[in-house]
Amino acid sequence: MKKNYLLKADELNLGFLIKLFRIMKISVFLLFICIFQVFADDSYSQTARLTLSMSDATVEQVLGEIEAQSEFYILYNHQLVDVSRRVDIEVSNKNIKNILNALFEDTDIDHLVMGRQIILSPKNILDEGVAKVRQPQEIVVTGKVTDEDGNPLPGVNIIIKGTITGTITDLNGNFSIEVEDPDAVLVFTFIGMLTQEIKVGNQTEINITMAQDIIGLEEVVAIGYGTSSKRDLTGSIVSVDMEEKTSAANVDLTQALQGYFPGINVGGVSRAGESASLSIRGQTSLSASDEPLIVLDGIIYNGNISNININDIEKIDVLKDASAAAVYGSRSANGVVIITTKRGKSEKPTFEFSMYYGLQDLTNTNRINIMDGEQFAVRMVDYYYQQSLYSWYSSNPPDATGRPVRPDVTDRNLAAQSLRSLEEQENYLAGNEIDWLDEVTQLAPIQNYNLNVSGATDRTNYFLSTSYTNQKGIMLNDEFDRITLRANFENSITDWLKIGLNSSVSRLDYSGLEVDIGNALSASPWANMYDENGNYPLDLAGESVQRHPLRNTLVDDVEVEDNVFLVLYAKVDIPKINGLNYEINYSNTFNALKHNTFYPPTVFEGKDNNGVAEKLHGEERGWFLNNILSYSKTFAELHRVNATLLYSTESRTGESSSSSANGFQNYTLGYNAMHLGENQSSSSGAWEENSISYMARASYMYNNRYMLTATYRRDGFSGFGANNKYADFPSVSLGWVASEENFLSNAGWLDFLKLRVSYGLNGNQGIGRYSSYSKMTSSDYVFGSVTAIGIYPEILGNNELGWETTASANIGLDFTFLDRRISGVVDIYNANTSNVLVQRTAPPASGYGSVWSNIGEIHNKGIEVSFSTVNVKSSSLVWNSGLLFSINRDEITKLYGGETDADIGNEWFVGHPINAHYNYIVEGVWQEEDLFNGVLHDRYYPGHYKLKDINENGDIHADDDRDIVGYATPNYRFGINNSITYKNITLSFFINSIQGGNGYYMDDNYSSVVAGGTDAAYRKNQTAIRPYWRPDNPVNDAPGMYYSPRRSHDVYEERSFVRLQDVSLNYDFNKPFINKIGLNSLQFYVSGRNLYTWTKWSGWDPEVYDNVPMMRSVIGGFRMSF
Amino acid sequence: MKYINGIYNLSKRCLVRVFTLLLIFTSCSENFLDETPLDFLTPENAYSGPADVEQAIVGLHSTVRVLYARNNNHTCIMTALGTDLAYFGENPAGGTMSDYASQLTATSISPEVWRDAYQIIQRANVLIVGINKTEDAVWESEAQKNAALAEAKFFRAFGYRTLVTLYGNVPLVTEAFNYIKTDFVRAPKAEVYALIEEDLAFAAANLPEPGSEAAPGRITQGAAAHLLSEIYLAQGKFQSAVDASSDVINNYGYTLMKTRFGTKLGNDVFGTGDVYYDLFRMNNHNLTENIEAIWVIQVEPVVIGGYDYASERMYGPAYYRMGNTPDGKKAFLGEYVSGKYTGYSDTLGRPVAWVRPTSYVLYKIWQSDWNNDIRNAEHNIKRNFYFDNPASAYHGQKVDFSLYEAGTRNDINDTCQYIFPYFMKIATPLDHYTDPARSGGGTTHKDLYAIRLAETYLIRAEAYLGLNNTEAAAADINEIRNRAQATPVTPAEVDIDYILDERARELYTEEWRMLTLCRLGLLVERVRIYNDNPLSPGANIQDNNNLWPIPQDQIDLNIDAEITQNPGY
Repeated sequence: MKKNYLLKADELNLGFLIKLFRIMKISVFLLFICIFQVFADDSYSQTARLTLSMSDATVEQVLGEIEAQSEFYILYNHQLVDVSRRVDIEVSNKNIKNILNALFEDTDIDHLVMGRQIILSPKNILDEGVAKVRQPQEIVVTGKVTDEDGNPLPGVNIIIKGTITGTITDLNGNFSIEVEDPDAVLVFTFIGMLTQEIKVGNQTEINITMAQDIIGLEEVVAIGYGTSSKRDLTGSIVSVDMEEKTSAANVDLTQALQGYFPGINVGGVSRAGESASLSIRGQTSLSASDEPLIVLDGIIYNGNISNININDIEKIDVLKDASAAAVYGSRSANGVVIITTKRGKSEKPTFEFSMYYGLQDLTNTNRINIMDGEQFAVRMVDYYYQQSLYSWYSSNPPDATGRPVRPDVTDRNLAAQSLRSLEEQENYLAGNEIDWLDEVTQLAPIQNYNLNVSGATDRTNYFLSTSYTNQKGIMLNDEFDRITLRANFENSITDWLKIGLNSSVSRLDYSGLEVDIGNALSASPWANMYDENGNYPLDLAGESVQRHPLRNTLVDDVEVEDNVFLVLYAKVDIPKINGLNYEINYSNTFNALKHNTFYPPTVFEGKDNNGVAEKLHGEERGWFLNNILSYSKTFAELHRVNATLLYSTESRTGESSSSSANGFQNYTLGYNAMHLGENQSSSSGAWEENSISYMARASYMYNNRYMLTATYRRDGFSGFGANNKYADFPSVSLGWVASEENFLSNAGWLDFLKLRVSYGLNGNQGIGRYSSYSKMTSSDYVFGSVTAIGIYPEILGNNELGWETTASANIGLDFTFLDRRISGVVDIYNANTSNVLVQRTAPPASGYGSVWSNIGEIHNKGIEVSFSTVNVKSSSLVWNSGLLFSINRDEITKLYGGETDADIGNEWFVGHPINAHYNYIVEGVWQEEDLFNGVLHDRYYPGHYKLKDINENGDIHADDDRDIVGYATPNYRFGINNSITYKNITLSFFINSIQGGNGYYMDDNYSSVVAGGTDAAYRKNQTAIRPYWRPDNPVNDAPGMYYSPRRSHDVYEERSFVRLQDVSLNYDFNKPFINKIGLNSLQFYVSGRNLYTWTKWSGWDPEVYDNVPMMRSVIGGFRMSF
Repeated sequence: MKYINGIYNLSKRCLVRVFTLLLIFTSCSENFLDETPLDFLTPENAYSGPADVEQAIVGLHSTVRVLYARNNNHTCIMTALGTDLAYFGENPAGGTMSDYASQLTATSISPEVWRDAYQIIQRANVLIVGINKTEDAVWESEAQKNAALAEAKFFRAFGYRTLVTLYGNVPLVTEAFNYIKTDFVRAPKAEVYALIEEDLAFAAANLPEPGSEAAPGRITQGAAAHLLSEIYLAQGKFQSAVDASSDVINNYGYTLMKTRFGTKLGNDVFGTGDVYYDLFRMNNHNLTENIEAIWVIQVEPVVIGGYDYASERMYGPAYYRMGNTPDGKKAFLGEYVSGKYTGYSDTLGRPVAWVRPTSYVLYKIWQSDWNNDIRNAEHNIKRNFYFDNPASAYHGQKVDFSLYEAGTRNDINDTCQYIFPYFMKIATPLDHYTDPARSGGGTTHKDLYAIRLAETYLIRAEAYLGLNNTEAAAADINEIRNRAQATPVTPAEVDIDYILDERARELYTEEWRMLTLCRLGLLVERVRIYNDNPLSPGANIQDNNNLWPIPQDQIDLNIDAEITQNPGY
């Protein structure tokens, strides 16, 4: 992290330099010592050995070479030190003092070596300066600088405004400085923090808290196999500081990302311990995985993202565009998420403890409106009544005369008769109703505890943590329990060798089989909960389709996952060639899964043969070996060059075995004694996959203004067909910091303006191993009573299967205005994917289901905008806002070669988005007048959905009357973020929205909207979202209770929503109070998630729209450090 | 230590060399990216010799068994629903095949049958190609190899028989393709029949003779010749049909069983029994003494690969749902197990009344020989049910809905779902292995006949009728009627309707009636006459329904060639 540049005093200042020089304090030089030097010890100057062989070189060139070979910084004033003097120097393996003595022999220049800092100055001045460091002035100001959490900040630069006089804070954040008069203004600066100016006045003690610079231009960003400062990036990278994410019930880190960053799309979560789906920008593939690549502490991470304790994460960097992601070549088409875990920061060990506790229930839109008991009974009366209606309709009556009369549904005896079982009839007449949804859901507790200790000494940096999370889902028996342990160590063995170990161990426990909410939705409200012996009946009301919704609570289920993730690395600063580093890292992952289940005979799954036991064991192992050679160097102060070379290999293996047994005479041992089952069977699986990668990256920056980065990666993956194992992924990107240009540098309103342009290729291998093979499946038979193993080909392979490649261009603009009050990022991208990996459905006459192929092309384009503003900023009130917006359009541009290819069976159409819905168009419901007027379509009746007759021939037919109804993809997304801090209280809230419109964000909602049917109406509970059609209630948006349309179709609805996703209220205790009780910081908070959702989607939550509800939570907790 | 020093010195001199060394050290061998399947076979290595070819043949048996025993649309529709024989009893108005117009469409029912048939064909094709690729040396003899080919070809022909009968012209696939094929075209029926004939002729010549097959349930020459005779019949090649069926009848030692036999002798559940009853008892299908069986689908309890047969579930009445006795007690208490009544009889099992026979099957066809035809005896068709609750005054009395107060019961449920005659050939009285308390949930573990000699006689009778030889036709029919102690038919009475009546009497639940009627072009006509679904008479069958619709996904996905839809869909 060394900054290799010569700093010249005359560039620092300013006309009155000469005048000031006399009173210059040596401490001014210390301004430029960053935090890393604070910890530096003097041993470096004694141990570092340099070899120089230069003739007729200027002193300046020699000093430059010294900097190049070493970690020294050399500071001097051009006007006082003659560096144009030519010298010959020939030293070998000498320490710095020897060399400097030789270099300035017979001159009046003396040197002062402080750590890695070298100051050159005329002898008299230097002596005087050192002497004057502590020379009293008229006013001595002391104080302490801390960060927002109350941690002391060492190494903060403090300068008297308008001078070059200053000091830095010590290890405890304390400083002392003398000023000449009360009008002096102290300027506090620190990397990553907002600069503060404080007028001294009559204060002698000034304690300040430095706030984090949200814009963070100097922030260090992980770019894959290296880091960069945000200012220098040429790609589109979003960084997430996890500190702010710990005030919400984020069990899984994907949840912490939801909605906060344009272009990063996170799905909803409905189960305890569930990871949300994660995707970046648009869909580039038809069938291959959309998941971004996860990189954990520099290693491609294939494990379960739930293993990672969110409190261990320092930050997350997301590489969105092609050029940024291209360093990960074949796996980067969906973007890359780089996770960096925490390290120690201060010499004093820091302990942190945090915990929260909360409760979760269904989001407000979740409560699907199933029929209550009365509606349930009446619906069957209508079911039969409407059948008789159809017989009458089919006689083509000219008017309503003679229409069958609807039975009197208020006659409870009559309605009771429509119920199919005696017990339902009895319960109905007695009013014993069950609300099954209430029975299977719960107000679910969630709790989390986290403890860590970290610190850094001269040579060692450590971070140790442990956490415990316990979450219950809103469905009964949905449980999640997690323990994580982490130890990160880094040690500088020598000045040139650093070794480190990042390790984590976690145990995830999903034991307990959640109840089946689908059963609850279809269960009869009039069934008996218990049979005469007080047990759950196998089926409700003797109806085999109605399994008991609570039966899973009787199942003994253990599901545990153990994970170990280790990264061992060594970093070598290669001698002689300054700036050349070599890193080798090796990682090993191991995870083991066991899933044991015993279904007793008292539940449906176990009834067949005296209980069923299942036992699954699986394990996966993987290793990575990365060799990284990097070089970084600045030439002639203007040209900065970085280069990285990578050679990487990876191997993963897995195996699993499962066994099942049934026929138990004794149920007590269950799955632990499979051998006691009369019938036992087993199966096993194994796999292996390997990858090889080479990567080269070079970047060049001129004068902090113009930047160029080029990368090239070659990847090989075992999973592709024999002829397509390797592929190449080049990229190039340019950056221009316009605000550095002379014509803009005087624009006071502009802080920073950068333009980025990039182009590159990315790959997608997300189809998994063995996809090119045709596969045989086994299927057993029996001849007589002898088992025979049968095999047949089930999956068709494709030898030619290869990479999917996405070529994309990105233009981005980063800006900061008005003293950092307004900042933002705008990205526009355009991506073309070719050789799209497709799991293409085969015509059924082929005898196969679907086949992986590389076909077609897909085009994606989009805009991502994020704005943040500091609306109010005073000492007691700070109000920040953020606005996010993203829009993406995908389009199939080629399928099989034709310009208008339409693959109706797969619902793929050239010129349309990938997720098109091709179906009949619902235009309302046929009414009796239509029948009487003779305008009904062939074989349609009143109470049937009216499908659009596109070719207007009076008949609804698959060939002519289907069309593209809409698209599943969102139209656009936006988010609004606000955080208001008043004194010790911070309130923040986040509104998230995904919007449809213009046919976007549509999905089939048939099962929620259509209450009836044929068989389903007969045996299940039904939705009551919309009243069903009846002759006396001729609605136009829902069909009759008996509904068996001639053409099966879907009913599409838009899923648009606006959600109050996160709200949190934090209280920070005052430092003095906290310090008195021995703490550094203490914060209490309350937060809520998914508190309210506005949507027109009927039924379940629009984000998780299948048969599982989404969770809403409220938690309270605290954090403290000491 | 020396080694460590060496490394140390090396690194001090030039670390780049270490890097180079590491690169070499970590470099992987050439085949690092080769991929070898670890836990699955591929068609390339799955057919190396007789042993694994045998496994592939087992795979075909397994594929086909699903069609016979699965408790869903396929079996019910092939054997009964939507034909002249039955309608959906549990829900006559809206159940399966109760409305042809809305249910037999390009997107419902039809795709399932089409896909199942082509799956058999594809699996057979891949196997045939695999066998042909093997070295001759791996086989003991040419005959061994041909026998394996013959069994594969039998199943391919079996698959095409369903397709050509229901859909007419269909894509003819005989190769094993390793790419996604999207240019299927419909081949003329004649070409499809030609392939079926060729395959079955090869099968009939090369399969083992009955009695020498490797295991019970395997395909023999007799089964191939039987199916071939039906294929000739379908094409109007009546003499060839006579020849092929005569081959089956005369040359393999098959005979109709005429005397009682098997495992339940002396242990008749209903107190009486006969040879027709014995034919369908648990474990009797595979007996070597049962020389009437030609192809038996294998089902076995408790064994891996044993499967189950949803026979009761499909075909029996849901008597246990009928509610109370006229005096308000539960009508059926059922077996008393572990201290409580289960609600189910272990004689009757737990049917759910999907397939409710029409009056044609229950009454009309038996009228002439109601008392003498053994197939209509009470132990073969249970027509009487009795209240079973000692707490009721009606305990032990025959169930009769006229005992109830008028207007208190739902006639449709009573007669279509709760109580109707129950064919004991599909039941397994007292043999409900898996769950005594539940009488097996409606599934049994009984073998079932795919081909039985009685049907061969009826095929030959039909062929003789086609040749206008009613004398010979009557003689064949009488082989069956005589065994059933029914009055012989006279040659003058023999017509296609009579043969269809006899098929119903002899083969109900065994015969794939849907194929028989479609083959004869009589589906629409007979459904209109005999399908007396009380809520949907004639199942709303349409004139075009004798030919099924081509599945919409076949049309939609077949993007490189056009597949025309059958008329009227």
